[in-house]
Amino acid sequence: MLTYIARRILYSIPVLVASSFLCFTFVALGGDPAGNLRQNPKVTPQTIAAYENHFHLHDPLLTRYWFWIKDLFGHKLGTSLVTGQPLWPDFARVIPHTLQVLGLAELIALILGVAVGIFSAIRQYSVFDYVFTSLSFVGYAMPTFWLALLLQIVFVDIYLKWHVRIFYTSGLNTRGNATWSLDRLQHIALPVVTLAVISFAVYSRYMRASMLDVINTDYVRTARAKGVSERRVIMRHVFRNALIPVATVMALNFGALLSGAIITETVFTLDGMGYYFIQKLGQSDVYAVMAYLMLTAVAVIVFNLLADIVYGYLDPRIRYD
Amino acid sequence: MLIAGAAAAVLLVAATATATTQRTTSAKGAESAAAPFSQAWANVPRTTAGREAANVVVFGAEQDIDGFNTSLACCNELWANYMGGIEAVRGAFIQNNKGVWTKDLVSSASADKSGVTYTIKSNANWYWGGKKVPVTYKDFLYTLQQIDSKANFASLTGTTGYGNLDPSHFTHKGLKTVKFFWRTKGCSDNYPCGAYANWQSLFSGVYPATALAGQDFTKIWTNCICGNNGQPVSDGPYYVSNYTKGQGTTLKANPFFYGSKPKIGEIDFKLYTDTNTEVQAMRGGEVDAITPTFGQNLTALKGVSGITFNQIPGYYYEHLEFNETKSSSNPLLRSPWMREAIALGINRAGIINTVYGSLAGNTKPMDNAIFYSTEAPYKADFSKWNYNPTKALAILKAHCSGGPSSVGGGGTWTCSGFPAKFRWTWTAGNVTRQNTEAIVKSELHDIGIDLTEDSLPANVVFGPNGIPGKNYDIAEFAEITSGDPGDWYDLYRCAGGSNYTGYCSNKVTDLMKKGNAELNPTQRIKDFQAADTIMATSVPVFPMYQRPTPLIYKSNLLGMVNNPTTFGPFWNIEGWHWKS
Repeated sequence: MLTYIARRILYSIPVLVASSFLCFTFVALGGDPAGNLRQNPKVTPQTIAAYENHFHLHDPLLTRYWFWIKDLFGHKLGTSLVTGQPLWPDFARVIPHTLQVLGLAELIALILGVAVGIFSAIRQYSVFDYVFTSLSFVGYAMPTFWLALLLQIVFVDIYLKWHVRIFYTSGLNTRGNATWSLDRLQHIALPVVTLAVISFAVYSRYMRASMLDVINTDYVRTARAKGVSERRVIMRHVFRNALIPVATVMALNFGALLSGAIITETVFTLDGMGYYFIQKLGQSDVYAVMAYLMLTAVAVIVFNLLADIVYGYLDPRIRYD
Repeated sequence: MLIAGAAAAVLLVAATATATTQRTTSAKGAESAAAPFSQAWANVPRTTAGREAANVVVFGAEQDIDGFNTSLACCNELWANYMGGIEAVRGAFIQNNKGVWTKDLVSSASADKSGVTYTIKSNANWYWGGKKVPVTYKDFLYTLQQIDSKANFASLTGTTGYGNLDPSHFTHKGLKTVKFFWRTKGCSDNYPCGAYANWQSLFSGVYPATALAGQDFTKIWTNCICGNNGQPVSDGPYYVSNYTKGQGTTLKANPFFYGSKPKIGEIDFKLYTDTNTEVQAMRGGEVDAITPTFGQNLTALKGVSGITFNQIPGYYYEHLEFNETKSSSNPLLRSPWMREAIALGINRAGIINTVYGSLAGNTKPMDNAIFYSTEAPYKADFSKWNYNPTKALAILKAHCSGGPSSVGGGGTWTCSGFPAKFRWTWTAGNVTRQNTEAIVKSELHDIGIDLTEDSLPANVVFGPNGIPGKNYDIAEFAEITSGDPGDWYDLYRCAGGSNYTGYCSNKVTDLMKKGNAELNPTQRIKDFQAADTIMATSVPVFPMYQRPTPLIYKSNLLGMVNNPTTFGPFWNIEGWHWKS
């Protein structure tokens, strides 16, 4: 297993290099870091020229990529093209906020999705099954931004009508600075729900389908024939084997969650990675955007590796060389 | 195992999430020693009534900032001014809601052919971490030296105005009176000789020399307005108590302010970068006031009980530019009669009502290319080109053939062998301009002129291959200025750096150049008014309207006065107060 992990990590390095170069090419060619300066009538052409020279904006792409690599490793994720300030303090600030929201959303989606998936499979074609199948399809089809805006309007209207503040529509805190205070949870509840809805839909469908596949296998029939209780059959034999594809999907879903977080954090003005990314993209701050992309690329690679490891653990038949 | 893994994930998140509560320590000077915004935000009451009782105002901020030193190119942002710059860094003059410069930090100020003289108010002091430090001429000198410094040049927004002053040539009387002299030698484009007509805009923000001693001017105030010991510094009605990127700013009343004592004890700026979220926060009472980007989504706030919706014409000049150069795809735009016909064929009032609907309010077509409608010198020079398709048709009939015989009759004119077809350029994604183009296309088609859409991303429109590269025919975009007529000099003078139309009138150039050097305000206005009158006869540009600047606030919050200048509604922040 360790050899396998080491080999996977080594394979990831050229993947990271290639993806970083491609991302840098698209981002560098797609925007003008000096664009905001150009639009400011007070900024002189000499200032713009000095800025472009300092950041090598007129150099060939490969040269600019090299300077970015140097900056990335020389200054812990690099420095901002717009402000000239180091990027790591910004990321150190925003990463925990995003992890908190994503972690909670994933936890809720997983627990509910697995539970609903199991029950739907056991009670196939029941009213419960039909209702939650329909809800899953609705949840899966719902655009993230639309759901986010809708939730904002609903809870503002509740406040206006009954003067009861259940959830806040934006920001991380109103009162207190504790990360797990009621105030914080009231603020991040709506973004967590927004992200959880789509993941819940995915997990419940996968769990249901996977459970139905396993329930009809020979060894499950044998267990029942041996007199094992239905509860033990489901939880000991069916559930564990049905969980394998869900575990894989959960790891692979991380990338989708991050993209959903961009929209959710922007709508709810949460000071997280996605919100930070959008701000920097709007400024054409190439180095900040690349730092974000590299972090997410590393995260996706790590989660893919975790998915393989978990898969190997859950299914003893799988062995990695 | 799954539950154990989930529990481990929760613990991991909890461990990593505590990073938000780390206290910022003063590592290097002029960086804040204050607590993060979230800790200050801890004591802000949740409801408007609670904030009224506690004498706190929460203001929604639309954009985060990169720093508070707005003299730097990186940080010359409007919200840097709004979220602390205007409140804590006051200067000689401030622009009121009519755009008039009024004395602020100084008791008297004058300019003549030799230089500018300031007498600082005797009770003007800096608040520096609780200490009272007098504002002296040294602060003015420090400000001039830093902005005029060649070493800082590459990081600065520009030296406009300050470059005309010679930092090595000044006299002072005591600590409160100083005279700076205009540059007379070593002149260049960035450091010109002679008087700067818009001298009242100089020193509109003064830096504290004592508090910033030993600091690199190009690196100060990244997350605070503070001195070299990290303590907040201010000569205005408030000081920046703390700022946390991505969250907001807290301002506290400055007990040493020279003007009227601020009535609100604390003002918190909370970030709402999504305008829809901002609107919901205003509806839901999470904020007490906002000054958002104007748009249709603000309709939800109009007519809401307990909320005052105010809008005034902003210094946001939505207009058309006609490319008279050889780069244009159609030489017909070089003919004044064609530009006149296009102007007469566009119903600006109708466009305003259509694109803004119930939010149109008092927005009217703008009829001056130099002065805004809210400014005293404004004259409706361009009103002669108000919508009149019959007249437009008559002009085109006199010069062209093959077009409609009546308005809406169909057909396209051919003039001197060229078809009356033009590209219409605007910034992609701008719904207002997209709708405007659709309306104008229909209106111009009725008089025999055809348009082709040329919607491009903003970085292309304003980049070297767009308008600055003269790669357009007719372009609709906006200029945002300070309200000073001198701002237009480079746009309208012959071979001006921002003159993308190719328009060249020696008379207009001479008048504007004269106005730029004229220290007599009455004569200055006359020079620029004369220039506009000449431009209106040939329509090199066509003013459309001024985009409104909204200010939306709780009706119980009194004293707020909207202001179209870069000072925004914060120009009289010391006068805000709750009704109770």
